[in-house]
Amino acid sequence: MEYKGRRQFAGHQIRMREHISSEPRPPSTVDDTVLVQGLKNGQEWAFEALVRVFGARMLSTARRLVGNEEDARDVVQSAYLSAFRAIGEFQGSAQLSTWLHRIVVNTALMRLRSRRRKPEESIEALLPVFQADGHFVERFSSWDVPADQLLEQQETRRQVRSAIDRLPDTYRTVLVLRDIEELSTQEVAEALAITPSAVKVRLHRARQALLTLLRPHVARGPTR
Amino acid sequence: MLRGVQLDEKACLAGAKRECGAGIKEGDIPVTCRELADFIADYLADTLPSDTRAHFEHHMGVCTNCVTYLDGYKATVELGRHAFDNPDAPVPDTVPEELVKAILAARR
Repeated sequence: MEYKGRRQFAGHQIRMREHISSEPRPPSTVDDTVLVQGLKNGQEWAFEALVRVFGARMLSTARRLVGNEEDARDVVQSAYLSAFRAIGEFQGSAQLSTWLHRIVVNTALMRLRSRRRKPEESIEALLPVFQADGHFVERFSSWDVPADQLLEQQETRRQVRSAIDRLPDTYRTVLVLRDIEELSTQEVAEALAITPSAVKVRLHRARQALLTLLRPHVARGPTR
Repeated sequence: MLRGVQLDEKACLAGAKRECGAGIKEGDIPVTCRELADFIADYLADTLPSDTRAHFEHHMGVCTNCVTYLDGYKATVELGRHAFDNPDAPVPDTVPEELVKAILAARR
């Protein structure tokens, strides 16, 4: 499976940080092959490099999925330990960062499943309502400001993140994986053990619900 | 704006039999506002069959409420995609040092 998560730390050139000091001293840059070889050989600098170079990105992914800092750090730690154990099986068919990202996503999804003790809220109340003849009940208003300008405002980005957090987990997870992490429909389907069609339906509903939540912040005047 | 809304509503509601597709028979214009809403994701992903896409776009040509909804949907996707970006950050994010140490310690 080709895995195309966003921001794959492109390149095979991985910049090493100055503070990685374990012996043998690593080169200033290293490609996947060198890093993987170091990991497979059990070299300390390689483990540290894997954490320092990719850790922030992995932590961001975990935060988006599990929604709080403590769980996100637990997820990242657990994922890295899984990766260290499984490095012998890494074949190099994907980039190292992509492989690691997949482990973080799966670990985060397991965490979400384990903590889901009560039925989640229905998303229905956030979806558009239609008249019997198929028309929207609501009369929509244009947005005051284009999205690209809204995104320049820190407050808007905070409002959007808050709205995403309010989505039921089932839908939020798909939205994060598809629209933010940029996994393909097939990749999300495999990660969540659901059909690609179900991924599409959940993504669409999540976006619709997010629109409903954002509209009071961005649209002109009363909308209902 | 209000005038425009009223005109649009007139076109879309009173003229539904011809223009908007709501409540009309199969084989005429099959895209209602409800159906349009269902098709938006596929429309944006450019995966609609050509005939359905044509009906979708025809509907968009006569229903400004759906145009507004589609615009909002597209903007929402854009906002969601970039909500976690932080262009104000002076340096790239780094992983917290205590997390680095915890991971490496747990490995040993």
